[in-house]
Amino acid sequence: MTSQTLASLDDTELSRYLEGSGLRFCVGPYTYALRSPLPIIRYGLARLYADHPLAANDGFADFHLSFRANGLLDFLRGHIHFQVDEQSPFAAIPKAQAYAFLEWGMNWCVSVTLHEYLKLHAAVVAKNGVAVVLPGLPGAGKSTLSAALALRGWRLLSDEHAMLEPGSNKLVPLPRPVSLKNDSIELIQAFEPSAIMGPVSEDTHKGSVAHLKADLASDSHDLARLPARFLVFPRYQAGAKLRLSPKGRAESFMFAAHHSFNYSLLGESGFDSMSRFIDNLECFDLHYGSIDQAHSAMESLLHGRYGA
Amino acid sequence: MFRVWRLTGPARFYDRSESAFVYYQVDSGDTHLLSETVFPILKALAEKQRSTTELLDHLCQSDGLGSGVTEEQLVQQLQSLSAAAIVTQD
Amino acid sequence: MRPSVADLLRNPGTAFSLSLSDWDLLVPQLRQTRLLGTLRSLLAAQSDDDRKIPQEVWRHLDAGWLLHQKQRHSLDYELQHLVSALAEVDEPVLLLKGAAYLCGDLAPAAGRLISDIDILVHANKLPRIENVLSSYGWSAGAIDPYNERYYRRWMHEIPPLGHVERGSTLDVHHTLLPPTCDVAIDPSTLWAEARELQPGVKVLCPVDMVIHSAAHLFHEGEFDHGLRDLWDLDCLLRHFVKTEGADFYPQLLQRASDMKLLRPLYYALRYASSFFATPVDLAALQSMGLQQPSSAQIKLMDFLFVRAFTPKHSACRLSGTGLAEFSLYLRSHYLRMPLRLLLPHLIRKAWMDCFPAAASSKN
Repeated sequence: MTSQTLASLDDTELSRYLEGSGLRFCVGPYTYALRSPLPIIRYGLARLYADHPLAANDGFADFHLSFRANGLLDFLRGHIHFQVDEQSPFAAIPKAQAYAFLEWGMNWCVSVTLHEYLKLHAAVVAKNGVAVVLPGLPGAGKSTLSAALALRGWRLLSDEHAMLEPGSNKLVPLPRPVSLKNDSIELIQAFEPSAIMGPVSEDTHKGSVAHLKADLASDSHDLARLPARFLVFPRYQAGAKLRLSPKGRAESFMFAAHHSFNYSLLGESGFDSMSRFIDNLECFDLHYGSIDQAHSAMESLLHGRYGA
Repeated sequence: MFRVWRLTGPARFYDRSESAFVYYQVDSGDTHLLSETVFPILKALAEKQRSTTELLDHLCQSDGLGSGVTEEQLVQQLQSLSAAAIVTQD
Repeated sequence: MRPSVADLLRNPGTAFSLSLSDWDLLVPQLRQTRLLGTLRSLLAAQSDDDRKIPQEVWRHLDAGWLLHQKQRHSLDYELQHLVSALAEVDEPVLLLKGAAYLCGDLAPAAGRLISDIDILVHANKLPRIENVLSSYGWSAGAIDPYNERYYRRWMHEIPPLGHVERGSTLDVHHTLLPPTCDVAIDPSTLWAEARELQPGVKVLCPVDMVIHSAAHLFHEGEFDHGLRDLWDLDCLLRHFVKTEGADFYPQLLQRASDMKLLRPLYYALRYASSFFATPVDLAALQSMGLQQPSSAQIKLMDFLFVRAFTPKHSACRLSGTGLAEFSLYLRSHYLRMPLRLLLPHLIRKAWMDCFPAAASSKN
């Protein structure tokens, strides 16, 4: 693909779009249109979305987002509203947290508005054309693990949404920066000093949040669907011994269903899609105490399967 | 009185011969993870509604998982399935 | 001129020639007015191999449709429980508004979303009904004592009930408008005319359904999905004039007149025909007793309601929208209460918005 990326815009052009008709860029199959007067948003986008394709200005955007101060009260408190479709569904936020909120809001749009895919709450990484789905409860370490894998040559398909084409085992890539919280920020910086991070937002409801540029593979923005082969439930525990153990399909089904954004909305067809999906997978629990351990376990998973 | 057990509504099974299976209730949209021990009971009730005695006979005649079940165990299982609104008694 | 959501619903065929930049403005408006699924159902009937909506647009329309289907499915399930619950106190389930349209498969049903289930019950049975609903899991939860008193004394419904397990919301009405409104609704006549959909489930008869829809909309203070509610009216009117025949409009006028609700009916007919070209002969209806407000009043109402029924989007926003919204908010309270009750209530509400903790601790 030779389409223009965000990196082709200099700072002046970037502000002109953001403060004017909106910056339109692609994330996997979706197009975002974003308006914002905030320097921190411009800085974060330039750093983390440099390789994302730009979309036509006169085309169709799936999601229209903007940051806007609503009146005097926002202005006096240094707050700003995050708008979706020109509506303000959320309370005002401090400007310093705007970047974390943008990333959160971009996820929110995907989670609640479209249902053409079965959407699971999971990170997705791939190597040699084989995708591994990493669901996880908050704190289980899925983001830290996928960040580390992205920095060691794996392709990151998604940080938050495993998007499954109904009735298949094909996943739709949705490459976005990886959201890192609190200790994970330093951990990843130490793991790979050259890692590119966006602005750090302090004191959000999740603590400190920063994002890692993770579209590092040459095919990061390729739109082709990838077959999923493994469902791995990571669980990080400081000092734990590595354990990669097979997990039951029914149990995995249940977990994935409970952590899906739209399994319930899709009704019986959601059940059918999940059944087909789980049948095509090998499921594992991965308990680990260090990123390096988990990395080597993930490599062995691929090699065990393909004998490379 | 001759009371029969039935499923509370149409259901789907995701069973891969493990220690547990997934039971999906079409009407409510609820998904349950159930122990394999109740699988033959629900399969039997999915075919048709049955009384406790009929159910016990059916399970004992099969050579599967439910063949060794006692009446006491069966009643207990039916009661807990009933409490979870999976089966009901007419 | 950019196409509007109302134009699109009125002439769905025009959707096939829209550009991507038209859709770029329309999809957010359709989502906001909760009409994605409605348009999807209108287009599904018209599209073929030569007439297609771009896939990236269709998936948004389809998302509205999927949500509608899920809600319809859940409604059936909730209804099973509701029918058994109310049967214990010998009360049928009389569905109102969206739930009635969906369950009765009435004209506005296709693609329509609902946010809760509204039912009408007999006021004299209310305590027993609340008890039985509570035993089936529907409860009001923690509610501010001022709000509770407000509902009990001044409203036509009890505080909304949420289901503890399923999270569904139930609005239990004992009449159609707050008793403080200057109207003459006799619930027993609503019950007498109600029609049965299935055993234990009823809906209002056609004229009552239209009057309720109109009265509800034109007593409202918020118009987030005002356009959708007006679309309901258009669909109902077109549908009932076919099923009920030539008597429909005379009966509608008579009934509205009996209930002292001719004014909201007038507005419903006026704005439905102006936004959706609903085939209504207003002049003929006026000769049959439908009073037209004075021309000054009409001008003012046009100013307010045209803004209320226009989606809140920069592509179509009219100047004065903020003022119109605020005026309609005040108007809705004014219609609901005499001024001696209204002022203390609005002051109280404003106070609680600013200092929620302080206000509730004083109760």
